[in-house]
Amino acid sequence: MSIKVENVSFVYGKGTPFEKKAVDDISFCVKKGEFIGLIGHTGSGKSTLIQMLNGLIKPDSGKIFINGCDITADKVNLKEIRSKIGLVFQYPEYQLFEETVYKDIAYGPSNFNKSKEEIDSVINEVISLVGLDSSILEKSPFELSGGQKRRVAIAGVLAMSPDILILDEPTAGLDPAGRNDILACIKNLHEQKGMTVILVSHSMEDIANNVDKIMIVSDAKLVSFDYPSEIFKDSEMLKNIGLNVPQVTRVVNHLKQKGINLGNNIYTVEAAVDAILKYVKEES
Amino acid sequence: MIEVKNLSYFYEAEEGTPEKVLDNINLKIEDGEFVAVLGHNGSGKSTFAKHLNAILQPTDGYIYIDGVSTSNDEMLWNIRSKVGMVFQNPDNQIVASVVEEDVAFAPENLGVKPEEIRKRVDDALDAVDMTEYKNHSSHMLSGGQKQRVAIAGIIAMKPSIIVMDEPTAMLDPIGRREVMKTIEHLNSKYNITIILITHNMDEAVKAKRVVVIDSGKILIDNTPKNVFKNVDMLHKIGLDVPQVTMLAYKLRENGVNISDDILTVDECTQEIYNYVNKG
Ligand SMILES: Nc1ncnc2c1ncn2[C@@H]1O[C@H](COP(=O)(O)OP(=O)(O)OP(=O)(O)O)[C@@H](O)[C@H]1O
Ligand SMILES: Nc1ncnc2c1ncn2[C@@H]1O[C@H](COP(=O)(O)OP(=O)(O)OP(=O)(O)O)[C@@H](O)[C@H]1O
Ligand SMILES: [Mg+2]
Ligand SMILES: [Mg+2]
Repeated sequence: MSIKVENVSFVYGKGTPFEKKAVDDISFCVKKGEFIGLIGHTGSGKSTLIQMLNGLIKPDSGKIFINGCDITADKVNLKEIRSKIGLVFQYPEYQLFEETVYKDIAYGPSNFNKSKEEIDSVINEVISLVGLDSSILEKSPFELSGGQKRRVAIAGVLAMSPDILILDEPTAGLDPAGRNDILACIKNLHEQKGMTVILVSHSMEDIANNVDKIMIVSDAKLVSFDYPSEIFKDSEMLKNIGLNVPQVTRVVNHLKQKGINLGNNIYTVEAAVDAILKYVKEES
Repeated sequence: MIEVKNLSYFYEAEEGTPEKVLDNINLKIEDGEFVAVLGHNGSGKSTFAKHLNAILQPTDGYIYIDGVSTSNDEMLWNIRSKVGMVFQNPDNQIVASVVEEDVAFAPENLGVKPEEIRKRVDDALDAVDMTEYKNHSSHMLSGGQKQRVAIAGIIAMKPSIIVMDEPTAMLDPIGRREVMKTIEHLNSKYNITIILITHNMDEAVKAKRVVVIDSGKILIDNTPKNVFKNVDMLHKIGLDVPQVTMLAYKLRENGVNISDDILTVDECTQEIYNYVNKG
């Protein structure tokens, strides 16, 4: 499914002293099957923007089309839209509300007339995708550790097999192995099932390792939407708006200042290793 | 000083046997130390942290804060005024509906004088770059802004021990760096003991001591240099190393002879520079 956003704006607390423009005239298109990274400083408007994409927040002005259907129009069937666009919230607590983990994950699928057997098999599948043991299913979601809650929230959204998956900092609170597993799982869904993915993250390393294109918002405005090679070229610009380049890119940039030029577009460990080995070989 | 002696903890289970979450932990943390606590999801880090200011009390064993046992209910106020805590989810921390009142809450409770509170609140909000939001509603903030306010609340409290449970998980890279600087400053200038729970290895390397908890037990207790050398072992227990440490590790695997205890961008740059110029 494709996403088209046209001149969308949103203001919190309109007419109050704390009026805050959170999204300011943003337009973009995401094609079916793209993997997009969304980055931006604290309070830049990322969470507000993505909540508009599945109709949780209605823009004050502008239009949003999902597969050509205008979801900002009156009388649109939001239930159907939300079954196709899975949204993992920034804080998993906002998403967990049933007595047991099982019921929480089953909530989505059971809303769509699935049989008990189908639901059980989906639950078993997603629970292992997010690296949890089935013994957790009968626990209360409120008696879990932070990272366990996060995994359950992700499992609940995956259980709906959405066409578009939007994740708001899904790896915050995950341990490193969990972070790698979940990102690999998302990448796999993207590659195998052609799922369209929007990943909000403050980790430049995770963004660099996974996405096709990067969208930057700053002070409620969309300031860039381009390939990682273009985005990570300008580390000064990124720093000025609260962001950065991945650690290895910083090493490459520092080496360049010291006269060692390893080339451009190096933002993963693998690329850095290759470039350094190549440089050493050519020098000797 | 914090002294943990044979600490074990079970969460009450409604049915079946209670789950042992902390298993005979022994630990001593001196005044002014900066300790990072690592461990996989569900390993017991938050449960341990909540013991340090007596939100939870040991099932077995003891914790002493400056010689006072956290199991002594009459001393709870004394302990909580010494140990400030930043929770994993900042929503659990918000107590007042306006940002600056929220930040002022702890020092007010501790009986700090109003002029002094004003100054502390202003300084704390400035330290986390939230001054422009001081009159805002504490609930109507972005995820990272809430986290910053929670950190400001503890800075304004000026306790002798600060326990932070993943305080930067929702912050942007520059915000994260600033919070780390603030933490280091509180530690070095005011000799405040810092206990930082984190999944971010770049932050853990800033500590002077790293404690790894695994299934409720202390698995490792050492300096960052000694801990992050063990790349394979860390991977095996679900942890990681900073990206530059990984770069150095992979280069060594490919026969590039550089140091095996690189933790920062600067160290990494220097080592590669030296290697290339030597070769
Ligand atoms: N419920 C709300 N009421 C009023 N203002 C809000 C509310 N939620 C967010 N805001 C404001 O809107 C702006 C954008 O917030 P948003 O949550 O979209 O940011 P974000 O980019 O997701 O930030 P973060 O990285 O911290 O999660 C912020 O300045 C914030 O203070
Ligand atoms: N209130 C509770 N009731 C029952 N069990 C709990 C409760 N809180 C946590 N647990 C369990 O105790 C274990 C340790 O949880 P804890 O929150 O201390 O882990 P953690 O190391 O902080 O993990 P994370 O990195 O995910 O935050 C987990 O198995 C968790 O499911
Ligand atoms: Mg957000
Ligand atoms: Mg925890």
